[in-house]
Amino acid sequence: MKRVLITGSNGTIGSLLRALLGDRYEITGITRRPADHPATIGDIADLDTILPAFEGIDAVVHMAGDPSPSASWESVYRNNILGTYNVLEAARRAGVDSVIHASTNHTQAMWEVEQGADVYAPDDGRLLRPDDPFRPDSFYGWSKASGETLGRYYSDAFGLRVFCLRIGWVMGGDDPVAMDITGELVPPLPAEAVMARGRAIYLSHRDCAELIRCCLDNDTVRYGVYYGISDNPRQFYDISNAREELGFEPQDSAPV
Amino acid sequence: MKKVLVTGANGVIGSAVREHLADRYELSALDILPGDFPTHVADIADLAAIQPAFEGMDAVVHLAASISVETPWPDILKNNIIGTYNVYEAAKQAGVAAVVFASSNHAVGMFEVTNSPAIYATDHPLVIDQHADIRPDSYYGVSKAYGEAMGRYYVENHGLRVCCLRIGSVRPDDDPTSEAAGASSGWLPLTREQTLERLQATWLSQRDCAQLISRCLDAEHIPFGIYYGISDNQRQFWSLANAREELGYAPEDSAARR
Repeated sequence: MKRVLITGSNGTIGSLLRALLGDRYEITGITRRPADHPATIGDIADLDTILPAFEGIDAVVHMAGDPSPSASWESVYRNNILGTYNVLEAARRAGVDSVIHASTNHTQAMWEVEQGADVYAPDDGRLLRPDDPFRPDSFYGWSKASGETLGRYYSDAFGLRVFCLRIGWVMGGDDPVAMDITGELVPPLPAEAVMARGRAIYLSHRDCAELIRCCLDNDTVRYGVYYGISDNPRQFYDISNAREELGFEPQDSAPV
Repeated sequence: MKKVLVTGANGVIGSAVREHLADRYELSALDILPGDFPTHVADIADLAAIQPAFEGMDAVVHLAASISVETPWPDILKNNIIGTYNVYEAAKQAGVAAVVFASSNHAVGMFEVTNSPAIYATDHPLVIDQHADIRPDSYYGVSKAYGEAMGRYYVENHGLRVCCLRIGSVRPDDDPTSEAAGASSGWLPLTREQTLERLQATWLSQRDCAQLISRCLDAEHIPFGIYYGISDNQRQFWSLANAREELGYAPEDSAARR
């Protein structure tokens, strides 16, 4: 059974991974606050504190970070720039095989802003590809692009296998109908457009766990960047490389 | 006449800018060390300390950084990541219109590493352009890629104009055949001959470098761009096509013709 370390194991995605993949992998965590699961309590901004947690680990799912598109530079620098370096460096030193880096669509969100709200319409065919240029809308988006760049370096230079997942919208309640759009108005859009956008980028808990399982079970990819969304009717993120390279087959879908 | 602040003005490229562009722009200097010209002496890692130098500027040429490919992560963090954020942020806060960011070929250096030394031959077909995947060969290269993405963020969210220059090999002695170059391959396991062969392809003369920077300062129609910087060398494995087309860059020197 593969030994998997989840950073941010107490967060929304960390918790759903423990619930849905706990019988498939031997999972431990890193989290800042005391937890009800096996975890190192520590801050990823402190390399020495987290190093022991990487010993004997096969794969790391790196979820810890400031997840807010409105995060300040100071927070992004500490949690996402320093933190992601520390996680990759700890993984390298411990001889971990692979790291799954939680990235985001905010690495390219200015593409969306440029297209306008029409891009969310069900019959609109425009598609954003993972290898289109970085166009961050925030320090947060920039920090995740930076994590991808650092991941590429660790893959090329040190042989660490790195999967970057631009995770769509994983909702706490897992309900794409009753979505809570508070605080999601980045970019500023009318409520109806935010709902349409939410239905296009929805990623169910089950599909999120499946995408990460596909990465954990993959033995061939050296480095890849993938969007992660459910099988939604309107999709403007191209997930064809996740289907082809990882075998990702989403089971759920938002309504039209 | 545009007012242009040069960070790292005391360095090799900063000196070339001062030598070749002083009659085209009203230059001012920022450096961590005083020079033999008026300098705002401050560390780019200290935002408050550098901010006064940005007041009233039309453009910034951001050259200050740890420039060795072998720079360890802590110095990269301070000088190239925090430092570059501070420069963009100070430019934004002072209402500066444009930043020319000294990026590096090392942002995509793995293409070279995996094809070296064959890539240096004049008949080798590989040419890397600005659309190539980001593939840094070092923490230094990583930090330059970070700075490019951050530049794009400031362009699209704060209206700054940013040109990123993936600068080739600018030498203090401005000599693409110099014996000194052959002694310093450093980051790649190259022989002396291979190091000199590489320099024939990657050399950027000081005046071509100054011209390229000048073209960026004048390119008010370009919100964001990434360009390689080399002279008109016989072997070119970094594409100059978009610099020629979009900026009108026309290098006057060539390593092979020296």
